[in-house]
Amino acid sequence: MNSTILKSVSKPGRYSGGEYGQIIKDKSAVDCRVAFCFPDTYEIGMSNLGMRILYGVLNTEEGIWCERAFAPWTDMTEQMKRHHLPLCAMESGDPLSAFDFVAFTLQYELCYTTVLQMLNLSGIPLSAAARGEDMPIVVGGGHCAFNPEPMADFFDIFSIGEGEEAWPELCRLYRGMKADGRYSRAAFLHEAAKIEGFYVPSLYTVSYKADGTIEGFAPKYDDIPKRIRKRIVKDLDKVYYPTKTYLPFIETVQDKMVLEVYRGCIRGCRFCQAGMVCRPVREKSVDRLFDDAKCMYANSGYDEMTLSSLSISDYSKIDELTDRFVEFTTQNHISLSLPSLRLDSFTRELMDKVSTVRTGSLTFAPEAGTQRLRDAINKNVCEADLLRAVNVAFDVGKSAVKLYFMNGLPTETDEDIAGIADLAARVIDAFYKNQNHNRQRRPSVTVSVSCFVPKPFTPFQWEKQDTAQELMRKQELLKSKITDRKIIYNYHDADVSFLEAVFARGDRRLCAAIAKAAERGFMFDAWSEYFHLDKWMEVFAEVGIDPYYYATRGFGLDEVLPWDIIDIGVTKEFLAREREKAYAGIPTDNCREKCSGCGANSLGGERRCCP
Amino acid sequence: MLPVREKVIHTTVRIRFSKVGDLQYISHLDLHRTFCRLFVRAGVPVWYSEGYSPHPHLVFATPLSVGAESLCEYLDVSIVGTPEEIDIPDIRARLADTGIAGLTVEDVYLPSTKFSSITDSDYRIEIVTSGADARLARACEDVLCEAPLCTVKRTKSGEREVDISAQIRKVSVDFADGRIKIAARLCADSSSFLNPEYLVKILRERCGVLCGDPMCESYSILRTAVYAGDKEFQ
Repeated sequence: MNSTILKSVSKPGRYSGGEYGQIIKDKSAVDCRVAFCFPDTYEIGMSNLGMRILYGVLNTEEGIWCERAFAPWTDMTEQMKRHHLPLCAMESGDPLSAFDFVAFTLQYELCYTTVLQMLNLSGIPLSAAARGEDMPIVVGGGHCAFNPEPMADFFDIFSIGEGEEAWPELCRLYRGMKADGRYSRAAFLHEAAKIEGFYVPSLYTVSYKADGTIEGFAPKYDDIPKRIRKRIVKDLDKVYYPTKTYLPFIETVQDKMVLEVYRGCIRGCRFCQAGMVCRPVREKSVDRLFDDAKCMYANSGYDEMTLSSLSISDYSKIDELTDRFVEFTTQNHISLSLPSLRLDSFTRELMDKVSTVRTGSLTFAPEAGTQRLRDAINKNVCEADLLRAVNVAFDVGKSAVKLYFMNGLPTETDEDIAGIADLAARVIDAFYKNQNHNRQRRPSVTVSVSCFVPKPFTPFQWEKQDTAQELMRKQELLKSKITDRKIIYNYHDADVSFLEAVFARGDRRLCAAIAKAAERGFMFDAWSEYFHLDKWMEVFAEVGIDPYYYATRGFGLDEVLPWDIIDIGVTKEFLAREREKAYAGIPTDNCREKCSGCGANSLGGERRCCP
Repeated sequence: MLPVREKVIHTTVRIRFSKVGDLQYISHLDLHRTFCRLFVRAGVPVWYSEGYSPHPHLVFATPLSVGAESLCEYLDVSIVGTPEEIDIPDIRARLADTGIAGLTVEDVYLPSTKFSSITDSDYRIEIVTSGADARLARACEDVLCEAPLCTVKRTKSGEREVDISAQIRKVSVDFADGRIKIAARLCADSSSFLNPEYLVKILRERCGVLCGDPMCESYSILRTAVYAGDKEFQ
């Protein structure tokens, strides 16, 4: 990158590269080059575990060179456009258009326009249909790929589910076809569609009914699957894990060792997409985790380590694991952090072992204000659990607690909203009632409330989202109920959640809106300074799409959903059953107590709790 | 329950290193983190502070601004052991390959001076600009030798005009290899440190350098030596 331009933009360290641990290969010795792109800033992308995994696993293969690319910030984008500089990969500095594959991880719906801007900057046609033989194959993956339809026009292939075994297979197919002369873009896409876990959207036609709902998906060839089954790694102890990875120079969002403990979740909260799409639960063994941790430490020199999974305290051997880690981390001055602690699992013993819990503030997620609603969403925690957990914290002198809730959940009433304020007030009471409470500090409870977004592959996938007006009314109502100044109240922007719902539940017809938005220069919608709902509404109007159709309309149980083309293992029947139980206010046991018959056990897997 | 730690004897060890190439875009704080991790990877027995959150103790000599390279940076780090116990050749060997392009450890030794004795730094500034010739070089030199030499300095408390002529100890400008080449000795003590970027800024404003197409014009700043009075800093 040109030094004059680097000196003129903010945070040039985002673009200069050369990080310790980056992988440089001899271009002439590889025949498959992958540019792994993160459609957000360097600081966010460098913290992403999925990117570290795929970068590492692809680079273990001789003949493949995987590099990184990130979205340049707006100041750099402007410079690149002015001077006609293409977007390049960090390692080689080669433009993305020169690669065999350009892969994007889709972590969040609001990154869609950023994906298109990155393609634009690379000179790669946005429409998959317009890409010629010399253009890279553009592949999407990550959580948003579970409903790939709103981005279907822009991707040649979607990778559905876990990628560390699927990606090398895709590259092998590509190299094989190139080597024996069978390769053409069309022939390759056809063959790729036959590998489990790969969806080639151009090979499926979508038909619609008169009322606008989907009639069905039809494969264009008989030899490709009717539905695309997600990939999982069967045995996490035997699969690659990035114990040696790139280390950013500049400060990133999560700049520490990340140790993934297990995949999936035993809980089944009815609003949670990750809890469903990551099933079945598969654990790593304590031995493998400990070996990986030691290796990561020696290779990085990091002084912080976080254990990662959807609900860390649900790891069946959490005590054994933390006990073994305590000595290792203390000896080496590593601070150990555990994210996502459930409040029913929070104990004094755990608190003493985990340094971030010792020093930082405590966060719990009751999600709803009343027991009735917590049962309806299957959160399976009660007020007594919360009061017990905060008392553990108050006993050792803590005075600040953060609580996460959601507004707009199905079946929610004004009583449930008031319940959030009551619960927060009772936590303040509990502080004063606690004999050991910190006499030097006032208690504080931060109540953080997000807006419910109905997500594909959850029991609430059919639900309508509250309108932004209704969400704002609820936000105001809660504000009026909170009178104690020791309670701090934050809430999410309802307009952002609305757009998330549109893209989360959208179908192929939305591609027109996203393309139009990209044409208008939209980028970084997830950044509040670049989010403008009014401009989006203009775009929707112009292309003749009603966004409310996707967000605030309840979908029929018999309707073909845009994501029905994807098979995550968990059945639609199970989701419908769970939805009924939600309306009846009946919780479901967690997977370890009793199998609820979700269907994910058909995918297999080692060290799981499924029958 | 914090474990009770015994007091650990430690000694300051000095590291002289160079930081060139793309590492010029890495800030002071980033470099601090980079060295902490490098020490762990290399197995250098750094001392950790004995407070609530233990951390290594590193002190850098003079700040180097983002966008400047250097052949002579100094870093003091506390290492476990007495001066007699510390194995300097072993540390030197462990740091021989940093694994980071542009970062080279030049020497490791027990220091006999303090960072506070640093007074000046030498810089080599090279400017590739349209219209570069011997006349332009002479014009640049004339401007930089003016006294007073005023420029607007941006600080945390706002902008103010300052005279930097006293902070420029020596300066000469030549034209060679198609570039404007500046050799300057600038104040580097903590109270009157002068950032070499100001020389580029003045020349841009007064002599019209670097005002053309950024794809064809560029400049580089390289710190070549650090002084304690008349003598090179050790």
